[in-house]
Amino acid sequence: MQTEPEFLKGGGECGAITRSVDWAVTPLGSVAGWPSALRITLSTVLHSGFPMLLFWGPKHICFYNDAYRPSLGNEGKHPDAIGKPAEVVWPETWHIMEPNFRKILSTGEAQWNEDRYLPIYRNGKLENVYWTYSTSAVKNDEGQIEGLLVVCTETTSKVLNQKKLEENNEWLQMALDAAEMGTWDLNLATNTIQASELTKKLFGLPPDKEADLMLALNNVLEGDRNRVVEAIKRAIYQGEKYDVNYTVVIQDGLERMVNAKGKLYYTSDGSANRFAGIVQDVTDEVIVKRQQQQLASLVENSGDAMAIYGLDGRVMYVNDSCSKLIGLADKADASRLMYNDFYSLAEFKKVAPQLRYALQTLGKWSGNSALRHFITGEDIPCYIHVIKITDPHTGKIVAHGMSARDMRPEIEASQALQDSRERLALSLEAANMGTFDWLLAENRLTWDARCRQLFGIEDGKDVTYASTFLNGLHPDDRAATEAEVVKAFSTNSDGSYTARYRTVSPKGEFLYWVDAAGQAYFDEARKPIRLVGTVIDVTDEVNAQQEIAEREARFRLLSNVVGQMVWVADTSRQLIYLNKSGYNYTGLTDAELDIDSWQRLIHPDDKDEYLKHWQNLLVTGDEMQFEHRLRKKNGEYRWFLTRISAHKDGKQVWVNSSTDIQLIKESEEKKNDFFQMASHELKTPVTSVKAYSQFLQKQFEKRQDKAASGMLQKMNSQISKLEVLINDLLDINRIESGKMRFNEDHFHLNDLAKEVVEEVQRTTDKHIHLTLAPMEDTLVWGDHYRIGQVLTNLLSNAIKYSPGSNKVEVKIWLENEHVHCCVSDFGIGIPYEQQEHLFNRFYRVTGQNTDTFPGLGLGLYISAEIMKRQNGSIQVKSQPQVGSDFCFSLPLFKK
Amino acid sequence: MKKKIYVADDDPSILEVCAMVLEDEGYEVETSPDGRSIQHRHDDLPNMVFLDIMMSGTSGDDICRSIKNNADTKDIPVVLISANRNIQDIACSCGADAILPKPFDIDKLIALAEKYA
Repeated sequence: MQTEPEFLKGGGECGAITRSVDWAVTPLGSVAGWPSALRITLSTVLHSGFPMLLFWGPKHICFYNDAYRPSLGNEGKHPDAIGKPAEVVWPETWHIMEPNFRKILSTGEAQWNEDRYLPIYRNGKLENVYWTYSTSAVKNDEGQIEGLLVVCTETTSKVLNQKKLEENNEWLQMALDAAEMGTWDLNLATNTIQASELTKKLFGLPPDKEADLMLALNNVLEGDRNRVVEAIKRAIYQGEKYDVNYTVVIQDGLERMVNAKGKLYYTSDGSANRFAGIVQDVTDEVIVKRQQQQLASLVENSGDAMAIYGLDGRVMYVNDSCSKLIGLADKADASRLMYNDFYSLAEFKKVAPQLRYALQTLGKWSGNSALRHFITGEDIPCYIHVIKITDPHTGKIVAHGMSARDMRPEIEASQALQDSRERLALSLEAANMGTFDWLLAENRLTWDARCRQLFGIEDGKDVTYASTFLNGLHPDDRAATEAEVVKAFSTNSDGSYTARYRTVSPKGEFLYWVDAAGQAYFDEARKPIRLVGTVIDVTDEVNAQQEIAEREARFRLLSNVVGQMVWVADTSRQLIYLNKSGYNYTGLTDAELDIDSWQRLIHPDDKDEYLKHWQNLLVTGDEMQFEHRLRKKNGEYRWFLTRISAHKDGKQVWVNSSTDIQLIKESEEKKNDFFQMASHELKTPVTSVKAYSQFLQKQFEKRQDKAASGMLQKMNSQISKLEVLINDLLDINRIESGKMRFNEDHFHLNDLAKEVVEEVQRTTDKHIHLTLAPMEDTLVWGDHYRIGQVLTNLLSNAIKYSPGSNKVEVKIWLENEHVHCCVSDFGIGIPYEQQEHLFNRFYRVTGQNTDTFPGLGLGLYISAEIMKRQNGSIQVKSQPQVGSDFCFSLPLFKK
Repeated sequence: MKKKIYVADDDPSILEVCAMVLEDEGYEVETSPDGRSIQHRHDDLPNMVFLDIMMSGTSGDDICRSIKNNADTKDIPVVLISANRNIQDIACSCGADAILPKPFDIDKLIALAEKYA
């Protein structure tokens, strides 16, 4: 037994094992021969409380201390490992150790490994073990590396704990990710946030950077931001629970609704250092919730009645429409119903089998049925859908849904439609209208019976556009009608179609004049697809129009052929018609066709009187008749007789006809001149005859030859009558030619009456009884001679027409500022119906006795004309066989 | 000495009958078919003049004017005779003293002669 070297003393169990090894059989040789580096290093290892290993020599002979011993476990390398080469001891990890050893041997540099996985065979099995260790080179006195010192700690439990923690974290993260939850961790000291990717995504934060609180808050919807800040403050300063919902706006404007929860974390000294928690995107949830609400609201407010009932038939839900439709007083009552309560017994018997079958085979049922009104018991016709409601997860049928549409309005509407169709048909029939319908795509033309009749086509025979329609048109109308159809189909048309054409039979005989009206319809591409319309027989109308047109043409021809100028004016004073003669004479242009332009052509001397007549026409509507001169286009004036009358033929018009009377006027002038001359020439011989006969009468009276003087007296009275006749003719002539002149002055009618009566009395045996006005003031203004002529005339008539009476009365009186004078006789009188004509020219009372009274019938006409021109009036009152009163009156002259 | 009356008329019958009537009344009557002879007369003047207005070649109102413009004859009364209805106006315009419309009663002729001659 060798003495134990000093350096091997102690060292516990491992020291003892080291000492017990028979080193001489090892590559290291006996202990005594060991180099000092080995001795010193081994001594350090064996006495160290820190786990150490030493590998020495080229074979890396192993040494280790008690501190390391536990790492080898039981039923393993210990105690045999000491003194054995490393390759033998650690075969399981030699492939890791050997390269490391070689590297250190070659470089001499130490190696540091932390938590390095180096499995080891111990406790009867290969165990996964982690180490933190340092391997450094041990050099001999010559400076050569001879050993490797490994200082190590087994960190397996630490590593495994850490691994477990990491795994836990990972699991948590996975759970959070799966729940779409992000995590965040606010460091209160730095205000920076550590956030999970999801959180960063939710807040739109940069993925690979730490974010700060401000940046995160910036992305909170402005309206929510204060609320969030306040919640954070309350959580941090007052330790309140942090649980808020808010909206985050990510850069692209996308809004996400989130729910964030968090809490405050404290350090061991009790101060808060972290505020951390989770954030969850609840957008979809909110949306789904909203959608559900909307859907519920939709169902609740749907116009259709809806109900849900369970598989047992118990009603679970009815919407408002449903409870209204079936007359439920309270929606809650629905829960007491069974689904068959919706139907009357009879209806249910009818519906139930269909319902059951359809639900089993198709899973749904639709059909017409009737729901029962709970109060009235009325069957309400409905279109009903019933569907199966399945659980979305299990796919199991959980309930039935029913929706029902009240068909009453539709039934009414379709009834109304039917009615209106019938009415349309009736009105078409009443209007004798036919219809056509042309579907272009199918080139199908449909004509009703009336339409066929108008084209002479039998019922049932096919009709086409080209062969039936176009061929059925009169050849002269074909092109124009086809153009109308093309027009209706043109892209810029509103699709309306109107045409008038003649239809002809297949033999070409004229059938009808037809008015067609229709509407073209187009598809989205503006391609015509249909032309629908009506046709109506207008043959009579067209014939009538043609007749009217012919008449009109005849009228125009006529109005142009007659020499008269004709125009028609409307209330806007426009001449809406002027005939050719009118244009030719006046030279008026189309721009001057108005009443004013026409009136400018009237001679200035005639215009005032013309306008008086025109005004009278406008006011009274009475026809106007007036002679005037009218300027010709060459400036010459000619006389016209114009008649204008008002007509109301739809609208108010005035019709003017102006007849050229220039020649008549001229010949009248000539006639008047002739009359003037003739009467003058007549007067001359009358003058001398009268003078001779009066002179003769005088001579015979002187000689007392009564027979001769008597005859001459009679001759003189006949000469006087001749004189009166000549004067009457002259007066007529003057009146007609407007040349009667009045020498006006004021005089007393009383005085005039005295003179006239005195003069007339001399020529008659009848007593003229004169009654003057009681007052002397009978002053009038007028022609003394002419008014005397009137009184003379009335007296002559009174005497002449009262052969059976010997009395004539003249009475003068004042009344209403007028002086009245009446001449009354008691003679033959005048029948009433003739009285109004008495003052007409050449009028003579007819009757049994009247032929015996001579006269030209001019006296009363002249008297009336004189009175008219003296602002007086003249009237007659008469009774046959009783007598006549002829009265005239003149305005009292005011000084 | 008889009073002298000058009568002008282009109708010889009227001249004749007027002369007969007036001479029968005791006047001296000078007749003229045109009245020219009374114009520019300075002696042998008539007491009055009857003038027809329309005479062949002359007009009574012109002659009346020349009578009234002649200092020697201007005071001789002139009576215009005419079938013209406007005799009154013509008489006024030429200064005649009276008128006698045709046909006239010879009493009126005599009355006028008595008044003016």
